Amino acid sequence: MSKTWNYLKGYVIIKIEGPNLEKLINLAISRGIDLWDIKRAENLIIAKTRVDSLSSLKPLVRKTKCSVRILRKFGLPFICFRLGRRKGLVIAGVSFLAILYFLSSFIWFVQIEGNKKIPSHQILQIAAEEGLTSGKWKKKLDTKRVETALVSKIPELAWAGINIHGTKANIQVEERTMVKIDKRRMDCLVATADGLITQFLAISGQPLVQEGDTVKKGQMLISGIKGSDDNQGIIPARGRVKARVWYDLYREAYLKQERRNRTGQVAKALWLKIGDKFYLLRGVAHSPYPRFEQEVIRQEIPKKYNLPFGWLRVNYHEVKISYHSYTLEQIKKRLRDQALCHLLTKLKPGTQIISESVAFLEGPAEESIPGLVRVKVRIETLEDIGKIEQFILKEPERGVRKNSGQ
Amino acid sequence: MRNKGEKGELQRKVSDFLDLPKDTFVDLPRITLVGNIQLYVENHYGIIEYSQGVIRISSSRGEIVITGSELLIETILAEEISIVGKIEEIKFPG
Repeated sequence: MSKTWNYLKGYVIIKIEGPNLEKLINLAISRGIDLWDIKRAENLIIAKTRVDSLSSLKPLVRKTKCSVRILRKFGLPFICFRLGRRKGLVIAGVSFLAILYFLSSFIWFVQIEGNKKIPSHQILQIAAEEGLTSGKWKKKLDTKRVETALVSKIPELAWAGINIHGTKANIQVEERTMVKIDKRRMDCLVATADGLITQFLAISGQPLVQEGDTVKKGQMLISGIKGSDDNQGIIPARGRVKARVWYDLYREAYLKQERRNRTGQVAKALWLKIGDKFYLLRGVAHSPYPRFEQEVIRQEIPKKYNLPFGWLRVNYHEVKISYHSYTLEQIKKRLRDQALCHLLTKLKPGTQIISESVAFLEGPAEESIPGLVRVKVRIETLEDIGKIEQFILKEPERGVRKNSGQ
Repeated sequence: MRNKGEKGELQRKVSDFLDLPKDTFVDLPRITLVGNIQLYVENHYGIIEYSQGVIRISSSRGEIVITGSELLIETILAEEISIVGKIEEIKFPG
């Protein structure tokens, strides 16, 4: 604290030479003259004292017949004095700060962020018209006005914001996502299966069928062209079409069927595979059973090591074959279950099964095989058969060409 | 002179009675030593001799002689002297 104060007031290093320096120090203290860092040599002392104490020190020096000399000067008053002599430097420094301050109150750079489709020069031009351009005084700039002007004059802009950082103006924009309407493409609703329409709801587009109609697979249900011949418009067709759809499935089976049951007897073999050759390590080379099921377990070293080794375990399970005769009803049920399982994997989710029927087929007598049962399973479902497909219009009026299923 | 002495006696008794440090009432030098590198003398009467090896300070108890090497008076005020350097001895020659 006192050091800072001394620096602000200014202090000097003085050299005092004379016969009775102790007396001088004592006198100085009694007069309230601060001395510090007093160094003593033979007949001189070097000490520090404040500038304003010098004048009161002088008479004491004379009285004690000493001589005093200032060695160095420190502190703010001396710096100010030195600067005062170098007026040019001070003026240059001050004017530099002034010019820096003055120039920093202008906009020098304009940056745009966030535009993807709108060209930057278009935004810059509109901003310049509203006053935001390089060389503009910041205080005269109304950023709110520029923001609103940008949004109102460029319809593709959803939002514009201006941030000023020093001499840089940052225009941030957000583009509107514009919905593109392609005049040459048209969405239509077509049927995915043959069926009888039970429910028909056209949300948009031109309905071409109605409830109770029978439709073929691929038939157009709702067209994307709306209006009369004179006044046509294109609209994406949307709707919900529920229809009854029939599926016919053919299945056949013998009344007497073979059954293979494992007896529990197992013969094992272990093969070593080197390259393409196999060597029996342990067990049996061939099945000891006349009827068997063969189970092969490959134990190869992972592919990444790329080694030509491998093991092969073979288990031969002995089986017993028995024959089982089914009644007609049992066969019918089995075939019906098979058909239903097969169909269920193919149906769209949300499909309802309304009814099913199983009919025996009677082929020509010479083709009929004794014991073979042939059935036709007919399943009726209620499902959504509407599917949106895109068409490309050859001419604006008529003639649609199918493009690709969506 | 006699009066002053009596006053001094009284002050000493009072400070004894109240169990107060002596320097608060009596004009005695108070010497603080920080290791052997710094020394404060309060209530001094001025310096008698000052060199790099010896500093003699006058006080109410007479001279205080400080010997050492590279001695330097860091600050000197009317009430207080601060000395730095290598302090070897503090003597009251009487």
